[in-house]
Amino acid sequence: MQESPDDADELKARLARLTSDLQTQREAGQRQADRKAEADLTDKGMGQAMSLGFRVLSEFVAAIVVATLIGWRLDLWFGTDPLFLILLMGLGVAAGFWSVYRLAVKPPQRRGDKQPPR
Amino acid sequence: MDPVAAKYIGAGLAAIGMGAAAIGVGTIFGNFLSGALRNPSASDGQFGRAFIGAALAEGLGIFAFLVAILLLFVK
Amino acid sequence: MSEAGPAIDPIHQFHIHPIAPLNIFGVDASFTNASLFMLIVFLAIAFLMVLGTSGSHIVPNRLQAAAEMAYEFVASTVRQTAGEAGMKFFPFVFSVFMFVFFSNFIGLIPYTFTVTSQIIVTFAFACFIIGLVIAYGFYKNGMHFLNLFVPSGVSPVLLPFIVLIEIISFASRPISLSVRLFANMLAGHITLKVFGGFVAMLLGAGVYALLAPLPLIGIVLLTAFELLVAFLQAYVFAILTCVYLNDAIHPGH
Repeated sequence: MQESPDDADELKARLARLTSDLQTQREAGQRQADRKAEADLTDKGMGQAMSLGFRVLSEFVAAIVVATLIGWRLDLWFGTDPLFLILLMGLGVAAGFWSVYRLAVKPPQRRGDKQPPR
Repeated sequence: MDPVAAKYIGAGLAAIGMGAAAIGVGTIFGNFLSGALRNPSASDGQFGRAFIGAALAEGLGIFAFLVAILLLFVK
Repeated sequence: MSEAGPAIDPIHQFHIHPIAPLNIFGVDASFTNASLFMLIVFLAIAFLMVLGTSGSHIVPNRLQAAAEMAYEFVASTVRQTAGEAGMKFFPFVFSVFMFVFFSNFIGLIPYTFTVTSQIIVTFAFACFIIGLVIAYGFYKNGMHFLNLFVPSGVSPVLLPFIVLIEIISFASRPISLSVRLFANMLAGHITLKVFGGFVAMLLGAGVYALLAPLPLIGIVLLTAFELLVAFLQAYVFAILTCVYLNDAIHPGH
């Protein structure tokens, strides 16, 4: 049963339509996946960012509080009343901002970032 | 003005500092959100930095809290 | 608050009352509700890990999947932060993470006692970790461990200033490590109990009882937030342990 030419054309047309449908289907799937990945990123990004926030907050506060305590104890020890307290408190503020700066400069590794060479 | 009353008034005034810190955190996230709406793709990278700014503002709020606690409980 | 004082007291949950008083050489080592809940947390972890890894069939059942997930999570954190050399400390970091994570979660159940809401518990953790870092740093790097305080690429003029700052930020590590976990757990639980107090007071206040569900919704939201904070605090504790161990392994960052 020899295939007539129009059957072949009709077959080819249907094939073309099928592949284009498949293509659009794949693109839609891809877009949907991207949107989901983006949502995931902010979701995980949220946890990552909050943990960064907790670290920055406590390192900043702890540096200043520890330095002030040390200064206060030194004052009591040496009897030089306000000197060490102010000196150490200024140093504590510098230490706090220094550690926050180091944390902020090295942002948390988002997915896909290459691990910086240690 | 007897000192005990002054102490409590001082603690009350120090507590206002925490309110100011809350305003700071509010502006940081407000500006971050308006920026993120304008350019959502870049917002993910800056999400961490928004929290760093908020943490610093909170840190200063915690100092106001520390001053208030010191005034209240340290003899 | 005065007449409702004894009934609604958010601080009551943190009181330690001995269950089995035990007095060894004058030291009050009685078995308290804190140690009871430490035991519960330990048994929960043992239950998860031992039973999870006993079956070890190819298609993991739920328990095994949970155990594997916990392992994978902490292993990837350690590898990413402290590199392959950090994996030597993996058992320690894993047990610290699991203990803090489970005690935070079990503490959220009403009428339980949160182990990590006691400053002495978190401070003991922090001191042990910093002690381990210092001991291992000196053991592995000898005196070179001290150039942890001398960051590379700093002009000599600024050096004494920078070294002093590094020393202060190193000294503040145990404080920040322990107070962060302690403060988050304490504040979270106090807020939950204060909202609980609102519900109780509103219910008892006649016509205002209509407002009672509002703080209840607040409690639901707060508990969800507390679940996130509980996990995050355990994660931050584990990741910082890795960061500090990494400083001990490679002092010159």
